[in-house]
Amino acid sequence: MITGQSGALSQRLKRDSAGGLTEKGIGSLDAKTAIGFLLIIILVSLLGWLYLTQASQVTTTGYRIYELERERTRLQRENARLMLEIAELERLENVEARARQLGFVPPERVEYLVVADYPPDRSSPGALVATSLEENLGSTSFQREEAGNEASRRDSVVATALASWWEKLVSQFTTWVTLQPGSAMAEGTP
Amino acid sequence: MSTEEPEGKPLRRITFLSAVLFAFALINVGQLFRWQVLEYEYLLGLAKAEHDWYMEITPLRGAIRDRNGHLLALDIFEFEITAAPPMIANPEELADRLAPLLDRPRGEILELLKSGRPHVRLARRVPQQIGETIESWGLRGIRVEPRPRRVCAEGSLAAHVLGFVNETNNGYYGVEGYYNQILKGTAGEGQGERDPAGNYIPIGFHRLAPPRNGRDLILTIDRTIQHMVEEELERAIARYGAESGTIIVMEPKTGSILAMASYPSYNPNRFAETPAELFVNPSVSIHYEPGSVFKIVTMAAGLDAGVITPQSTFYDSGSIEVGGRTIMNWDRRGHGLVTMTDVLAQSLNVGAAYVSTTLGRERFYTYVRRFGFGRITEVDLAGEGPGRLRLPGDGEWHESDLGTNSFGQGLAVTPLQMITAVAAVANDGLMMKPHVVEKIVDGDHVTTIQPTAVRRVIFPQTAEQLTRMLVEAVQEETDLAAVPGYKIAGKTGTAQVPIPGGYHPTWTIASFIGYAPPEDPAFIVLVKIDKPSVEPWGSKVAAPVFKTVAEQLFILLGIPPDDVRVAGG
Repeated sequence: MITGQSGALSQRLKRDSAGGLTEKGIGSLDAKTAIGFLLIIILVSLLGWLYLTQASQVTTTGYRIYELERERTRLQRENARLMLEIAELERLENVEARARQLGFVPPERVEYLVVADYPPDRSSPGALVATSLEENLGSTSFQREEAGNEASRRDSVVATALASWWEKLVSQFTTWVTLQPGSAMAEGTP
Repeated sequence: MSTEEPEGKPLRRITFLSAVLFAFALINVGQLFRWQVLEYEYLLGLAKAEHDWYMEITPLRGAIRDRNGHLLALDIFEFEITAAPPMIANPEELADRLAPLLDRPRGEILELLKSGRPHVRLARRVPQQIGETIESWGLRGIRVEPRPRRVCAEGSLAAHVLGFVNETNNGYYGVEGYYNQILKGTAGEGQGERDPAGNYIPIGFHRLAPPRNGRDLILTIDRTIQHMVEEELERAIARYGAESGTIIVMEPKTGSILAMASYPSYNPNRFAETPAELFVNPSVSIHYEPGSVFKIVTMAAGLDAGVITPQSTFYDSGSIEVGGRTIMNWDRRGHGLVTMTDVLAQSLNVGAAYVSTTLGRERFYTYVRRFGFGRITEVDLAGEGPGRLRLPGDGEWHESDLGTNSFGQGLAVTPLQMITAVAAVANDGLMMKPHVVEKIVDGDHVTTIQPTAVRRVIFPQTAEQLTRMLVEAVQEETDLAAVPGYKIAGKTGTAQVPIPGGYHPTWTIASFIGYAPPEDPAFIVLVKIDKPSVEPWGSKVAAPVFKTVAEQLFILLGIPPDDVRVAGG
């Protein structure tokens, strides 16, 4: 059986030789194949490297996203908890209790003072300031001013108007307190 | 070759081996059949539980704040702890760790963990801190899921305005019910895969659709005024031995409701333990016969139609017959020649019936409808009712209704309808739509609800005349409503309570409605005390409550006394 098989093989090799395959031919085919294989290996390696790099980056980014989502959820929960804490601290009952602790008491009587120059509507002190502006800044000259100077002058006028109004208010309040029966100021005590 | 076996022996061996192999194959097939067919669902569930990750992300419900930004209702997180018992290696150890945190007997937890069911719930509504602790352990087979829960930061404050939210994130009653879709938001979902250790696989299938949180609401309610009003109402109920009551405070110029309180109330944080009848907001859902307060509407109609003036006189003999029914004054006496201002100041039923009959049914009911009775005000609160108003031609109406309706009997209104109608008089005859939401906040985008005029119900001159009459009425009828230094326009009401077959002999509904300052009203207040046992009269029961509320409103809203305003203005 063995003898018969080796004979068939040698005959096939002879047929191959007869078909034009020389030693050199076999050697040059091997070199090309080797280069081809090498190129394929390099290409596959390159593709593999690229894939692994991509996969690694995707994994890292995916984890990062996942962690950030978890963090966002955690912060959202924390935010909700803090909002409740603030709301509980701001509860009217708590505010009232704290005010009493600090010595505040409900007013027994409320007095209203008529404040000179106080505009009747709620737009004050804006209305007051606007009036002062009109009085202090002529519209023609005002338009000619540079923008920076304009803002600066406006601030200055607003501050002066408010300060003047506040002084009047304090003075009026002091007078009122002095006139109250039993007032320490009325009795000469500072 | 000498030990040659008998010919049949290999065949037996082959047969034996075949039989053994067949048996194994049969066992394999049987097992596969069991896995693939009989236990398919169960095993698939296990595999999915182990590999797949899915979570519906409940959106945060929008917060509700008062007009000054104070939180009234918000969502906080609690946790639900579930377990997949087949994935738990050591149930005893796990039960030891969880029992003290979950405040549940170890035996119960162990029984669940050994149940063999694919999923069991170990605890729900676990506080945030405990939930996060268990979550941080990263236990295999244990799932920790956050669940939002609604909390009313001020407890029972403004409960009827707010309503409540159940466990499925649905709001009922109040603004929670009315604005449910806006507050609720849209659920999101997360899907993905995890490895056998339960770790997330980032390169596997992954999908995240974030939830859209609900929008926030800023109410017109002022929590300080609301708190004050609730306290005053509760005190009044106790003082007069009443059964229930309602107070509403509104801005007549805008229809903004500053406070709306009813007693008894409830705590929305404990809605599950609350009797369902307490959820109903009496201010918008429960109607009552308004009594003499309704004379404001009758008088407005008469003045506006030009059939009377404040100085018009008529002779009050003490009774008048309308549609076959004799109408008498509350004191059953005649008051002689009286003006229309006297009719209001002395609250004369006969005088009111005189006005309505002089107007005639068509004009009278046109005005009643114009003032918004018999239909909802369209306030932005869930469960509003239209009241009850019989009209000529609808079958139930009787000729005598023209007389009784004129002083608030034989018709039923909600407290909100009543205050909205009188607010129109305070607002120069222009009726504003009542509302409790001022702004809807969606991130940086803020939608402001603009005050909406419903219709002009009377001419401004009529409103002015009527306001002057109502100021006189308060001065003459009840000084218990008067606040020193301030003029008040208002009217008392004492209504009998209808029962089957007539009216209850002793029960009354005492009410007062008033606004101030009359020339430029900043607020209007309705006080309604049901079935007071100490005193039956609105002038004795509701008027003093109005006074206390008004006194504090003048301070809270920064309204100086009349002489100061005149001097300052």
